[in-house]
Amino acid sequence: MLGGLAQGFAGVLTPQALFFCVAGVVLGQLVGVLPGLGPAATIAMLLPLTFRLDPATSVIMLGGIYYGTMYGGSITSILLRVPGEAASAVTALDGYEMARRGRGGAALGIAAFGSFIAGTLGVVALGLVAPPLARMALAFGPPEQCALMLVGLTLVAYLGGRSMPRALAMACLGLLLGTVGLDPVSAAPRFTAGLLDLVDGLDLVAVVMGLFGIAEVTALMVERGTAPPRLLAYGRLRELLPTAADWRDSAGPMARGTVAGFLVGVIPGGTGIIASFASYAMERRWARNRARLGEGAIEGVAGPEAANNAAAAGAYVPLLTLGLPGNPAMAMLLGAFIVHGVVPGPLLLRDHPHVFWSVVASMYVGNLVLLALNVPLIGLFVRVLRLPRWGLVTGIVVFCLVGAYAANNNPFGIYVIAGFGVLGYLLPRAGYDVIPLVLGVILGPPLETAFRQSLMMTQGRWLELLSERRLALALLGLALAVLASGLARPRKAGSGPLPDHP
Amino acid sequence: MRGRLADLGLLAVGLAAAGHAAGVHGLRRHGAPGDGLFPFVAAAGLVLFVALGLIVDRTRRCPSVAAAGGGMAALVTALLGLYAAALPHAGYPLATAVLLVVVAKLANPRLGWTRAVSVAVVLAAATFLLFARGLGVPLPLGRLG
Repeated sequence: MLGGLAQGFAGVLTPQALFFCVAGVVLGQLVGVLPGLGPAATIAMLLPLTFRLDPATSVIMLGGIYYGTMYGGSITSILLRVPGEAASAVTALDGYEMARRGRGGAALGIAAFGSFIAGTLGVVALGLVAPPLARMALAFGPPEQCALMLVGLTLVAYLGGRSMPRALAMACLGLLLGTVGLDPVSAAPRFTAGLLDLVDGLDLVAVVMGLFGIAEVTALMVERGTAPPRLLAYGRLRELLPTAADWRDSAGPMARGTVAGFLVGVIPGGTGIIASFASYAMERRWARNRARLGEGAIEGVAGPEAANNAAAAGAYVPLLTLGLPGNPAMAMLLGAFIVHGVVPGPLLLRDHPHVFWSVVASMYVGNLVLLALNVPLIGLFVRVLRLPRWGLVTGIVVFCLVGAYAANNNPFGIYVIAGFGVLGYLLPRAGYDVIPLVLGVILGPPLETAFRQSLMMTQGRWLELLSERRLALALLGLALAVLASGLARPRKAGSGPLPDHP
Repeated sequence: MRGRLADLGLLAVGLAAAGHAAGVHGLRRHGAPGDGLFPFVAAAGLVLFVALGLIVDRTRRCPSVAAAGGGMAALVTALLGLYAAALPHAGYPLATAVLLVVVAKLANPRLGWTRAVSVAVVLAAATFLLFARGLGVPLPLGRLG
């Protein structure tokens, strides 16, 4: 591991890679403070900026955008009570109360330090866990791959959606949309309606930009009559530094949040929002000042922020070792890898070790950059919050247009973002979460290949094959158990329209 | 019917796709899985889970499409469709500037024309220079080129 990491640092500590790492983190934070735009949409919009870069530098920059966005979201949670992205929703509970009581600076400071500590520890865990897991995954054949992807999809539906049947319906719609284009075996066109532009399938970048970016534009236009929320003061620079008492109260929540966040992040579907809610639930039980939670307790900021950032590091484990994106942002990073001719999965560490270790090393550097820039640049990020709504809308539209066009140098991508924009706006309002849909589109082609290969291997004797492939059988059993548990559980509160946080 | 349009639409998509996959592409071919098998399974899953959702969440309340802002969603889609059709002819800078003026005025009807036009022109020109000249993305110039 140390040799690989040294190789990774050698790749990252070049002026070019360092520049793009810093640029990614700053861009991520700038966009992350804007309510509504999550990491997946941000990565999709900024993907064209990386087209001319080598694979490692490209993923370093996009990774910087990812965890920059995760931190940027907490600034709006604390100062506006409007989460910049979904994972920061919990931070708003105590962070905003702290800001109302004149301790906004301390809340922002502990969020920054908590994110840094948890993010760095999460990367250490990633470096330790990923190589053995990748070696193990090399032994997976088509039945195991197929079963693993089914586990991933059912977990995403179980953990993410408010209604398991609706989340699974969206996953199935995604799988169906993933079959648009040429058949992987016979090369016959399927569901293309005779359009040559659909022969290569639906472009993932355009799908994500439509579902999240254009849907957000529509939401901002619909809400145009509403007044923007009032921004609270955050104090001077030195007030951003937590006191000794703050550190004492925050150490336990940060440690618990880091462990829980990383473990949640590793599970497909285990997004930052689940990690931060899990951390908050733990603090309600174990925090020293748990009675004050919800009234401006620093533990309510430190724990969820640590969990959120540790989950961001944990989410790289299934992506880099199994090629399985656990959330839409990881799906976009998978797309970025593929655009640059690198396929994440068990073979990544063997075939492209410099890419793997550069990504890991860049996360150490990125976390350091986040901490170094967070505190001094907080005034800049707050100014971004004062951007008028119409300015925000035109900015999102122009980046979506360029991204959709640049994906294939063809205006067809703009029709795709227009179509998926309507879906991304209306489906959550009808109770359908679009995140399983994105993962279905991503996993559709590899799942179909593994499914058909598995069926061909069995030649009609699939029960016999499963009895020989114990791991595949166990994974299928797990998928069925998750499915049964999700369908049997009572409906979660408010399973009507969903909030639109990608 | 109120708020059930999405459910019915998804059911229709699932049924149509399942029929197309089984009828046109086939579920088996020469003893092996046919081209239509996987899409059929996905479409059948879509129908099954939408129906299950309707049964499990039958008391769910959703706003109607119009109340949820469906009109604005349709307008944004139409604008983007027109933009995509005009792009090869008008070119990126002109088509984008026009679209951005319309979008800015829709987002804030009280915004002055001078401000909307100047911001749209600057944004269209800046992104053209960044992506086409700086990053080599071949954005079309249309008749201007």
